[in-house]
Amino acid sequence: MIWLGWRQQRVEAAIAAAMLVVLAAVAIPVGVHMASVYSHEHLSVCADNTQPGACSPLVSSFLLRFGSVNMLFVWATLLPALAGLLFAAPYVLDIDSGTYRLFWTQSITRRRWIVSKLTMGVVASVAVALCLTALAMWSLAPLDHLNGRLSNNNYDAEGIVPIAYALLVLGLGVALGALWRRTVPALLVAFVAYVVGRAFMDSWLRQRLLTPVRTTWPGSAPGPNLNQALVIDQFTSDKHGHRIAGGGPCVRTSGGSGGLFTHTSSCAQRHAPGAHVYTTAVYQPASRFWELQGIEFAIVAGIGLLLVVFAGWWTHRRLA
Amino acid sequence: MSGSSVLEASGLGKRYGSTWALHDCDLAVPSGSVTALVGPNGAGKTTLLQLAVGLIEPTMGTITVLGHGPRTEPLAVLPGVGFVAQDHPLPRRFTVGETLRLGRELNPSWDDAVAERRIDDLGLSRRQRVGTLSGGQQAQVALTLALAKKPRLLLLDEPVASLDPLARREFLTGVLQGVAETGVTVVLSSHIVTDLERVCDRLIILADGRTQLVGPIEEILAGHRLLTGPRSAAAGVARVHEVIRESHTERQTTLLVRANGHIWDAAWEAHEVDLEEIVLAYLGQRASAPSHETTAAAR
Repeated sequence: MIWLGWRQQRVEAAIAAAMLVVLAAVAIPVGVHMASVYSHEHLSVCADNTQPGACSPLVSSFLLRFGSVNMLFVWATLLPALAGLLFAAPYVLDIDSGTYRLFWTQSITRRRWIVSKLTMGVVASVAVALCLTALAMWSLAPLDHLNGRLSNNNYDAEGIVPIAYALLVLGLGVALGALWRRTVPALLVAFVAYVVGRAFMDSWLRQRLLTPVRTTWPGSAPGPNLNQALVIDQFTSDKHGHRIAGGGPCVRTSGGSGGLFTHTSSCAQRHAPGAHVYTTAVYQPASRFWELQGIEFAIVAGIGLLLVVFAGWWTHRRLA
Repeated sequence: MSGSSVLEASGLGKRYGSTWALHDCDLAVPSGSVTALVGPNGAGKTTLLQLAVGLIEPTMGTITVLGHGPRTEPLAVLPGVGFVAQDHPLPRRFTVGETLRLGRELNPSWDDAVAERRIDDLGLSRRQRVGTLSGGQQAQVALTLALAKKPRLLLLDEPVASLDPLARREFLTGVLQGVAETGVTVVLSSHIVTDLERVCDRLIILADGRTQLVGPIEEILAGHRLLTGPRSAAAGVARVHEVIRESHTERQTTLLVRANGHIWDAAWEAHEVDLEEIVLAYLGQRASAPSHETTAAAR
């Protein structure tokens, strides 16, 4: 069964390996270069933003130079999904082409066939996603230090969330494939469902996974450092944090977008000259990275594994 | 089970939705026999074979294969059963050699010598991809996979339906060789009656999900007669013998009967009939007198 499983997904494994090699061929030189510039210019002292004056120009130029490296890993939102699709394919192809009847009428039970095939799909998807996230975390490290990793670009590519999405797409693929018994439409729909779910998570659900921190500070004070935070909302308010009508956000920084927090008291004065004006920010602090990743992983990987189990159950019960 | 049957069904039925694909089926396949399972498309042949190999579960009744339930004890049944599904699906990306390895990996009773010799006899290269083989060659590879398991029961679902006459003949010769070498019991379904007589010694006629006729082909041939005689006497024949099909012209009546003993009546001229005609008569009888179930299903 091991030989058979390998034989049936070696093409998919080769495609995934090629994908990883291409990505590594770009990400490793860029990462090495970025890390050397980072250490050469002693940017590590700027990471905590305690010396804004001295650091600002250095950090700005570094981010200007390397900010686009993030774009390399924008693809990282697609690659775990592709891994999931790739390793769902052998299972769905066997059902689609009817070859499962051949396997089920050898001297093994259908349960054993289903469990081995699905296990191999899960292991392969997780392995590829692990490689992807390791590559991203290593090469993006300098940017993470300066910018945080709560922005969608970094958050999606790093940590354990890519593994969860690989499992989700695998689960969608095998479940739809078991129901539909057609490879191409099942995998296409799985991919579309993934994109929709992912957009929902990135733009709406993620920031609500934990109750955000709400901080209000006077317009004249520097306020908390929100560079590395995921800022959900920031607005001009009164002392108690109630929004002042017409007082839009004076400074809107979102961690990782490249903008450094700049204190603009003039903004508050513009809105309500002479009054005691406060700023309120609603955000997820940078320290919550792993906590957020853990919750998102549990939800997404949980759904993915449930779909895998459902696919196995459905195949066992309903296919003949 | 009785010691000599490798497959027994009693009251066996399988329903899909509101339609019975197989209904109230009783049959026994004796060890060492080669049974043809004949019937039109949709008669329940595939359903019966899939029940026998445990791909599907009966809705009612029981089926035992080699003394065990295919669904309840798959590991007691599967190693002893060679199965070639309709259109003999094989992984198209595999080479012939890899296909044999598949059989070796998944079957403890696998006999490499049998497999290798058959592939040599077929003149196939082990490096050739299965997807590039002709339909006849693919069917032969699928049969090789089934025979090298050293099965006690070989189930073939419409193995020759998609083959040209030459490939059909070659395939059936392969089955006969397997029978000669190992004495394997064979059940093979077909809607083509030609060639079956050469291979099979027993017949099961299935139509509308029911068995119409079960028995050794020799007995069936001996038991059926084509009678020609006066129309007026037809009712008298029907009292003694089972009339399967009747046709009339102005001057005479032709009856295909399942004779209940010898036909003595001098008014009738009796002829022997060949198997194809008997099968067609049974299937025609179903078509002209549909049962209540099928009428209900049609609505």
